[in-house]
Amino acid sequence: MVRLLNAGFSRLLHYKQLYIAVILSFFLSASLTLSNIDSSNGIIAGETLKTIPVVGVFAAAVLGLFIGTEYSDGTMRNKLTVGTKRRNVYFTNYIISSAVCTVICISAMTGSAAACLLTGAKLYTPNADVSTVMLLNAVGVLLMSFSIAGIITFICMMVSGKAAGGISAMLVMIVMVFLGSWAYSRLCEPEFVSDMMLVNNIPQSGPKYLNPLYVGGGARSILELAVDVMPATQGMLMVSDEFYNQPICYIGSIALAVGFTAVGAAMFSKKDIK
Amino acid sequence: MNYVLETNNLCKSYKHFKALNGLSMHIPFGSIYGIVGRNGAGKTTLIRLICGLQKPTEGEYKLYGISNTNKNISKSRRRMGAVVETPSIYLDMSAEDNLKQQYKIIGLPSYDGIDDILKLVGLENTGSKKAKNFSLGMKQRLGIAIALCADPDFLVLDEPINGLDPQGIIEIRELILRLNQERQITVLISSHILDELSKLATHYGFIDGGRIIKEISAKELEAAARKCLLMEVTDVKALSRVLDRLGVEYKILSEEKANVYAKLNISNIAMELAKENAEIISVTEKDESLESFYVELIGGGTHNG
Repeated sequence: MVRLLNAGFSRLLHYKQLYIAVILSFFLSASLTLSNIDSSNGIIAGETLKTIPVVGVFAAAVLGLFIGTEYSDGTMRNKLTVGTKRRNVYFTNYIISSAVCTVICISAMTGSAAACLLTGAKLYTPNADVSTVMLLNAVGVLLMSFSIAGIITFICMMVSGKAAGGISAMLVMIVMVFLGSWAYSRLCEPEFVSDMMLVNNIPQSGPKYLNPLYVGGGARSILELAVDVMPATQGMLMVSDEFYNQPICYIGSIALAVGFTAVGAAMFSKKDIK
Repeated sequence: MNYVLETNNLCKSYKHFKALNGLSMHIPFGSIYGIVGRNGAGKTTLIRLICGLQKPTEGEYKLYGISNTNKNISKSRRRMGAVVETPSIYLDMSAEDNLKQQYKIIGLPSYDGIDDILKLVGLENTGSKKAKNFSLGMKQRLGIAIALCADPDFLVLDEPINGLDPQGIIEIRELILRLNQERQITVLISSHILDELSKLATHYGFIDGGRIIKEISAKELEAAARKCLLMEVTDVKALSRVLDRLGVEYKILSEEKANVYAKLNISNIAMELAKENAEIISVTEKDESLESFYVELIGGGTHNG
């Protein structure tokens, strides 16, 4: 597998699309951070991670093309014909995908850090120590990179073709962001709401009633678990400074990475290659 | 006899379609083995199986005596190189970078042999030109160069001359012959361009409907090839009566044509035919070539391509 990693990383280092994604995520993150610095020249730590929920989309674009090329140019055959084990081919691609996701995340965080340094903005958190939050977030981002890599590798290895693989992976990542946003917003709905009314021209809140958008019971537990586990929503939790449930989030990321990689490797070992 | 590759009752199905249906073949060491068959006969499927790109549904094959079900089959594969359908090359890399990439995959410690391989396939002067700007023939040769990186002694080439111009065809043919004669590389080559294959192959396997229907060496084919006369007459029934009287072997092709497998005195035949109120229109001497052998064996019927 060392041979495959050597070949894969040497090709990756010459891959223009990776550098474009790294630069884009750096500048996007820096500009988002700059726009969130408040009047007291401070910024909530989580808001420096606003690019993280969409890192998967950048990574999907790069990896879809990178892995898809193996199918469209037929170079996957060069590996298998000389007796390379399929399991090793899959794991190599997973490791490369993890590296790509991590590098894009680091680039995004570096962009935010550069924006803070440039403006002298200070990080703060409403409820906890900044350094602890940053450390927990960093671990979360790293593990999230591994889970995103697992999902993208799975899609790109199962869908044969550069365009098809890339588009499929990007679509899945975009859908995950939208689904995550929807799930997160539903969880943010209050259980009870009241209407505003005017009494003697003075606005007053009316009687409280059950919010029809509120999700309760077992469905809420499932939705909470999904938000804690899904990579895009983990990023949203960090941004909103609500990344409290770290053990579940960390375990969720690891489970996603291991699950997708194990299933993907098993399916790839049986896949008919053209 | 020792074989590089033996297949035994190999089957491959895609849903309800049987691409290979009990295929058995034997490729001797040092041979150039040509698989001959129409489009859809199963040539590429067979090659995909033996290259490990797909798994057989039934049956087995042995590569250097090691069965595909044996864990050591990957070691056998390290002794082979292949170009399956289109050349497998990174289009955004130069020829040299493509070879370096393959060297890394194989795990070779240095790039020492790359210049020799590029020279062997005639790509030594391509410099930093990217493979996407290569001609089809150059891409094909680069594909073969990549297949040669592991210094294989078994080379599998799937339709290597498809789409090439005459010069490209000659170059690939000469390269294959050189690899076989100078490096003693056994070559499995699939093609439906029979004339070209007949200039290369030492052994043939005729494939139809997913199975090998005949294996024959070039020498056996040559010995089996018979010269014959293609006779065109006004009345083939009269000709058959004349030939029957002379005790000559023949085969009626149409109402005017017949193949006659004997040396004949044409004047005598003309006179005999005249007695039957028939005439000779033309007489052509024919060699039973690979093509006619193929047509005889498989028939010129429907074309699935």
